[in-house]
Amino acid sequence: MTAGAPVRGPAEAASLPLRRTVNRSQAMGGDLEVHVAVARRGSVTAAERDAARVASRVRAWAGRLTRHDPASELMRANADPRGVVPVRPTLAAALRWAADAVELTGGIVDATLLRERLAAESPARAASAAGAGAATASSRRPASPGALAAPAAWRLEGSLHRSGLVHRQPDIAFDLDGVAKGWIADRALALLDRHPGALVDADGDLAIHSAEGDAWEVGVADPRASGVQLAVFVLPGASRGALYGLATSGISVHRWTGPDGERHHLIDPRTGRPATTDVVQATVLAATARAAEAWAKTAVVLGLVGALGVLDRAPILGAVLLASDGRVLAIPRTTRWLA
Amino acid sequence: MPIRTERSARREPAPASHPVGAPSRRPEHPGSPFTRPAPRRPDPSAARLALAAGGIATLSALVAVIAGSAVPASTVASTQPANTVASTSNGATVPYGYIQSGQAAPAVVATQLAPSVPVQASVVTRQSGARP
Repeated sequence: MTAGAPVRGPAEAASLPLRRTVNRSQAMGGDLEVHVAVARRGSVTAAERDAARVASRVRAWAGRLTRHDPASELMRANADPRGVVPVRPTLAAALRWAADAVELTGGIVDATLLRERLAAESPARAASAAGAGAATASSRRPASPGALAAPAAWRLEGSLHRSGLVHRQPDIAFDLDGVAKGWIADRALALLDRHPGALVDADGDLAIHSAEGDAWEVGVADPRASGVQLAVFVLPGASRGALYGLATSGISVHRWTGPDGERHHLIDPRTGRPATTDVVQATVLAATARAAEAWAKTAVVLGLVGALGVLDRAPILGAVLLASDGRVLAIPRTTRWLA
Repeated sequence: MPIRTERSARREPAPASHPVGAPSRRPEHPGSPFTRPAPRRPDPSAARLALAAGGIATLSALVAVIAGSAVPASTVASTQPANTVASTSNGATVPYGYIQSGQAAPAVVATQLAPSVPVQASVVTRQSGARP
C-alpha cells in the first residue's frame, strides 16, 4: 500500500465506489466508527464481522490507555512510585509512539502533561491525581515560553510489540489522550488490511485505506455550527491502496471557565499552561492518523503564523486551519485533496 | 625600409642593420647604440581622480552594507504585524511572514478557503468530544 500516492484523480475514483459497511459504537469519550469497503465479490457479512471485531479491539486498547479509569494500565503506571515501571505491550507501544511524537514535533507534543491538563480543568483535581506527593506542574515546568522541559525526563526500554520498562523521573505522569487516539486508529486500520479499503474514525482522528477505483470523502467539522463543514477532503485510492491519516485538534470543545478566565485542554509544554493561540482548530492530512494528530496539535499550540511556517515544512499532505478571526486557511498543497 | 617612430622617443636605428621586423639580438644597455630614453609617462592627474572616485564609491557601498546588516532580525520582524496573512477573497494565495527571533525565514504562502463548503461528507474529522 502507498501512503498518500493516488494514481487516479478524485473525480474518476469517486465514480467507482465500493459497497461499505460501518460499525458504530462509543469509545474514548466519543464516537467510534469502523467502515469497511467490501470487495466486489466479497461478503458483506464478513466485512461487518471484521468491523465489529476491530471496534471491540479499539475499545479494549482505549480502556488500557485512558486516564479516566484508575485501573487502566496507564493510570496504574502513573501511580507506581518506582522510577522504573514495567508496562505491557499496548502501553509500551503507545508510549513508543509518544516518544517519537516528541522528536517529530520538537517537543510540542508531550505525553507527560497530565498534571498541567488537570490543573487547567480543575486545580483541585490536579493535586490528587496521578499519585500523592508528586511535584506540582509549576515546579517541573519552566516559567518562560520557548524553553521546553528538560530532555530525557523519561524513556522506554524494550523491543517492538513487547512489554517494556519505563524509566522516568518520579514526578512524570502520562496523559496519552490524542496521542493514543491517532495511534489506536492506525493500529485498528492495520487489522483490516485484507479488505480493499477501510476507515477507522477514533473520535475524530481518522485512519484511512483507500482502494484503487474507490475514494473516501471526509469533511472537516466547523466547530462554530453543527452540521457545517469547513472543507471536504477527497482521498482516492491507488493501484496497491493508499493510506491516509486525518486528525483535528482545537480549543473550542474542551473549555472551562476559571477564576482567571477561559481555559482549554491543549497545554503548551513551554509554559505548562493552556496555549495562547489564534488557531481555533487545525486539521492535518498525513500518511498516518498518529502523525496527523501530532501535527494538528502542534499547529494549534504554535498559533497561526508559527503553524503555517511549521506545517509548510512538515512531512504532511495538507492542513486546514480555522483562525480566531474566522478565516479558513490552508497550506497551498492542500487544495489538490479538496472537493 | 626603416621603421619610423617618434623621434623624441626613439632614436632611428642604423639603416639596414636588421631586416624589417627582425628582432635585435644585441643586448640593450646604457651607452649602447640601442639604448632608448625612458618613455614619456601620461599625465597622472586623470588616473588619480578616477581612483579617488572609485574609492569613495567603494567605501560608500561598504558602509551601506554594514549598516543594513547591523539591523537585527527582530527589528525587521517588529515592522510587520505578528500575523501578516492578508485578508483576501476565497481561494486567493496570500503571503505571510514567519520570523523567529534572530532568524529571517523565506516567506511562504497560505490559501484562504471559503468559510464553509456546500458539499457535505458523511464522515467528518473533528475535535475530540465533538459531535460529528
